[in-house]
Order: sequence, then structure tokens, then C-alpha cells
Amino acid sequence: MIQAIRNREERGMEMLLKQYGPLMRYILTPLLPDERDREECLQDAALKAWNGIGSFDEGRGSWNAWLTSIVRNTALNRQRAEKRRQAQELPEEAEAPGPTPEEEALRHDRQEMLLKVLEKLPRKERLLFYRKYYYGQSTAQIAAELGSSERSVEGKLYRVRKKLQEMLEGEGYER
Amino acid sequence: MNAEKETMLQNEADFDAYLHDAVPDQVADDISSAVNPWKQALSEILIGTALSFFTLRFLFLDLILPALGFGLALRGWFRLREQNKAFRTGWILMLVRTAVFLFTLFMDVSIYSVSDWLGGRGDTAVGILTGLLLLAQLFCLRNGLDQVMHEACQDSSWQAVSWLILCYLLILFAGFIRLNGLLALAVIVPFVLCLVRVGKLSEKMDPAGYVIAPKTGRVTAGGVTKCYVAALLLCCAIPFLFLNRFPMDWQKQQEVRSEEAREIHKQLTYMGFPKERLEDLPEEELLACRTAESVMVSSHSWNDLSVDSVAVVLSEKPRIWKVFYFFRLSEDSWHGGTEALEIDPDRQFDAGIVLAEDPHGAVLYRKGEENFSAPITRIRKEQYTSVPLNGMGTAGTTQTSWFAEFSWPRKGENVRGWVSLTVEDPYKMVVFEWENAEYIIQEHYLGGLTFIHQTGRLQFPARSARTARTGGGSYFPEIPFRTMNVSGYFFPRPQTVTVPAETEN
Repeated sequence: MIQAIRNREERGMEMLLKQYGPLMRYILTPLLPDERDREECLQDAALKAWNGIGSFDEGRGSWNAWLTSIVRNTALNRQRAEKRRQAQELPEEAEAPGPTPEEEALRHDRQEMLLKVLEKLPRKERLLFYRKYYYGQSTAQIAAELGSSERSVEGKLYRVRKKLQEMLEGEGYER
Repeated sequence: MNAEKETMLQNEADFDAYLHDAVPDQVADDISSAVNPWKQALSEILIGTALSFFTLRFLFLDLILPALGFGLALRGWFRLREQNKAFRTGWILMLVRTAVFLFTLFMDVSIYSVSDWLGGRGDTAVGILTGLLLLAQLFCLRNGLDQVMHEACQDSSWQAVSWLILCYLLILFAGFIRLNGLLALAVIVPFVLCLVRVGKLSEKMDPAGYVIAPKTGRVTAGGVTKCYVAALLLCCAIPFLFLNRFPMDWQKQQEVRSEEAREIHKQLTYMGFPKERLEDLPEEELLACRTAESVMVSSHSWNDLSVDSVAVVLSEKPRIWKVFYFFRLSEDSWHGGTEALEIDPDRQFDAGIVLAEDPHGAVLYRKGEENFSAPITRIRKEQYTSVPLNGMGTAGTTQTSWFAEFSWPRKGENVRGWVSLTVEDPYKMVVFEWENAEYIIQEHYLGGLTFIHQTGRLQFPARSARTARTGGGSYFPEIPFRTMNVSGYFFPRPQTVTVPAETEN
């Protein structure tokens, strides 16, 4: 499939939508509650994957992880645009303004710091963190998929947050 | 106070926003592959099925692995039960399988066997049921996976499960014809390979797994696991604590005897029947000895246990003996658990000695001034193959014996008992031959008795003394049991002798 996309063959796009449609919808569902939004976003994300196939390097990460980040970013952009549109009453076609260079630099620093402390967490806790903050899954969804109760997931998430807070304070994070 | 709380909540909200903002843009490979709604459930089903299948009799692994396997499979099927009809049926079958497993575990941990509760062929019936349930479940797995793949618009990939079913059928057949050793291993190997293949296939099927949407309810997979663990612990603890001895029907012993019985008692005493032992016999046993011609006695003892063997010659033509085995335990011995007497009148020389009636007997004890007695709990004939130590090595020999099983009273003095049997033609001529010589035992031979005595409580799973002897369910066959062989030689009066006991261990 990847080769077919690289060769710009049409069947590559068909395969992408057929094989990875369920994964893309799975990522989109918690981020975009509206089904029409999701379907539009899925098409956008598939197009981005098609256009951006050159940036996919198997040596740097799996296809799954790469596609996941494309789908997630597309959904987040859509989310942000929607919020800004609602706040500023912009026309539907208007693009959301991106972050300033300062904001981007600050975010980059925060990401570096968080990534550093996340590596110190046990795998199970890391997974829980990513489900909540990366995939944007609800406590109910996490509980259903992990076979626990919502209360137990909330408790675990609370402990993960506390742990991260302590570790980040050690790295310079201030309340 | 409220202000403090508000600040704290604000801090938490700020930190939450911080985490949302600072989360990395790209997820690591291990995380992206693990976040899949069915991955864990499918792994649990596959690993659980594999583990529940193994009966590796080593270091309790035949209990631990299936127990773990059922727990995992139960979780997996529970999670997938809402996805389609096949998975729902699989979940119901899993519940039935678990119930059957817990029942067999309960029985295995107690001194009883499944056949004791369900009749002679109970073991076989449960074995067949277990096999069929798993087979049906594998079909459900295949159909369930097929439906998920279809739902995800992907090509069906259930060939591996089909292979798994085929291998499992082979294993069922091997079990049916009681295949063992290397051949049995040869059948299990492809089954395991198939499981590995299905595991790999499940990775390929990961993209389809995203269509799965586990539902949350009041009962969670964690809750199911907790219930299962509780049931498992109960199924181990209850039989271990409460089903480790036979219930005995203790009755106050009747002292009144008829005139005829008193006369026979006198005659037998004169012939050399130990008087003390005669007191333990009920009237009908005495009356059965009314034609007594002579009495032969031999005594054996071993630490806290002693056995007096008494043969009453009832008739010479045809030759009929009534043989009594009297056994007693010293006062300071342990009274718990179960005891068994293995009676094999034909054991040593296979001389064709016939029992005229089934053995029977009683256990007695004294409490204050009163004597209590109870019939031997169970006397039955059993064919068994002696199992090599810890299930390793080659199979042993097959033999048929009578087993008399009972439990001592929990408290009491002078605990003792007897078993009697009537033997026809006990004087079979036995000839030993060797180079240029021969030695003939022509008289007064009778096959022997093995006393299997439980010496302590520490055993898991709990086994009866008979099971410890016949080898079923034993990891360490002789712990906590001791076997004592009583040889079956009788000598005519007045040559009453004491023969030292032969012990196996």
C-alpha cells in the first residue's frame, strides 16, 4: 500500500481508506463528535497522508504512528478552527490563524520537557496518559477498553498527573 | 477553606491544560500499536486458551496454568461479547467452560473424584463435555473474527483458527485413544504453533480491530476477574479444608450377643483367635464362623500402626477361609485425613484365589466407657496403573485390588478397625523354580494387604489414601502418606508368630 501511494497509484488511496479507515475513524471519534465532521476530516487526513508520503520514513517510526499523528493533527486543526470561528464568528471557509513563533517555541520546550519525564513513567501509566491526552479518549472509553471501571481509571489518571506534576516541578515547571 | 480548594482545583485545571498543550505531536510506536480496542482482548483469549489447555503435571502447573488461562480467556471473551453474535455465544460458552473447570477443580482438590459425584463414567463425561465446549468456542472465535473483518471491509483471515480447530480435534482424538508420551507431545506441538500463528495473525488484523467498540457497564472485565478469583479461591479452600475426610456413620456399639454367638466366641478363643479382637466383631461375623476348624494368626506392627491378620479355616473341602485384618492406631497418632487398605488376595503369585464375598468391615473407637463403630465408608474394586514418581518416567504395571476406605474419628481412644473377606481355595500350590532346584509353597498362603496411612494434613490438592496409592493427582505420591505391606502368610496354631512389617518407604 505504502509503495502504491509513493508511486501515486490510485489503488494506494483505495487501500489506505479500506485498510486504515477503521483506525482513522477510531482516532477521530473522541476528537470530533460530529459524524459529518469526522468523515470530512477523514478525507482531509487521507489526502494529507497521500501528499505527505515523502515525509514518512519507516526507520523513524511505524506507519501506524505516522498515520495516527497525521489524523490527529488534522482533527485538532479542525477543532481549533471551529473554536476560533465560533469565538470570532469568522466565515466557515476562513482558515484559523496559526500560533505565533513565540508560542510555537514555548510549546516545543514544554513538549521536550514532558517527553523527558514521560519516559520515566512505567509503560502502563504512559499508555494511560497518551490515551487521555494524545488520543483525547474519555474516561468511559478508556475504562471500557481496559476492562476497568471509570472510577478506577480516574484514580489512576489522578495518580499519573500527580506523578508528572512532581517530576515536572523538578524540571522547572511552575504552578 | 473554600478559597484554598478553589485554588487547588484551579491549579489542577491549569496543569491539565498544560498537559493537553505539551503532549508530543507524534506518538511512539509501542504506544500506537498498544492503543487498539481489541488487541488486549484477543491476546487474552488466545493466551488463555493455550494455558487452559495444558496439563503439565509439574510443580502444580496443571492447576496454575489452566487457572490462569481461564481467568484470561474469561476477561477476553467478556470484553468482546457485545461485538457480534458469535462472540456473545463464545462468552456464554466461556461461562459454561469456567463452571465446568471450577467444578472439576473443586473435585480434584478434594478427596473425591468427579465420578464419585456423577457416577462411574463421570470423569469421561466431563472430559468429553470440556472438549466439545472448547471446540464450539473455537468455532465462535473463527466466526466472530470473520464478522469483524467483514465489518472492517477487510479480507477474511480465519485460516489460522481453522487450523487451530483441526489440531484441537487431533488432540481430542489423542485423548480419546489415551495417547501419551512423545506421540501426545507431537500432537500438542502443532496446536501451540497454530496459537502462535493466530497471535501473529491478530497483529495483522489490528487495523480491523478498531471497529470494535467495547461497552462499559456496571460489570467490568476487572469485576469479572475478581469474581473468578474469588470462586477459584473458594473452590480450592473449601474442599481442602472441609472435604479432606470421609463422613463416618458412628453408632454406639451393641453389647448384647445371642447364646450361639457367645458359644462361637468361646470356641474361637480356644482356637487362638485373639480375645480382644473378637470383642470388636459384630454378631453376624461371629455367626459366619460357626463351622470354624482352626485359626491362624500373624501380627505386624510399624511405629504407630499395628495389624493382626487372622485366618479362620471354615472348611477344608472345599477350602474356605474367613480372613480378618484387625488394625489399630496408637493413642498419640494423627487421626485426620483418610486411610485405605488395599486388599489383593492374589497379589504375589497370581494363583487364582477367589473371594466368595465382597470385603467389608468397620472402624471403632472408645469414648469414656462407650464404644462406637461405623462401617467402612467405601469398599470397591479398582484397576490402576501405578504411576511413576512425579509423573515422570515410564508407565507402571496395571493391577486390580480391593480398596477399603475410611477416616478415623476426630477424637477418641483406642481407635481401631477390621476388614473381613471370605476366600475360597486359598492353598494354591506355588512353585518357585531356578537352576536345578525348586521350592514349593503349598500351604497356608494368602495374598497380602497394604495399609496406606495418612500421617499429616499437609497436602495440596487433598487426596484420599487410595488416590495416593493409585497415583491419581499426586505430585509427591508418598507425602503425607505411608504404606505398609502385610505379607499374607499364615501359620497353623500353635505356631503363632510375629512377622516384622515390610515397608515400601
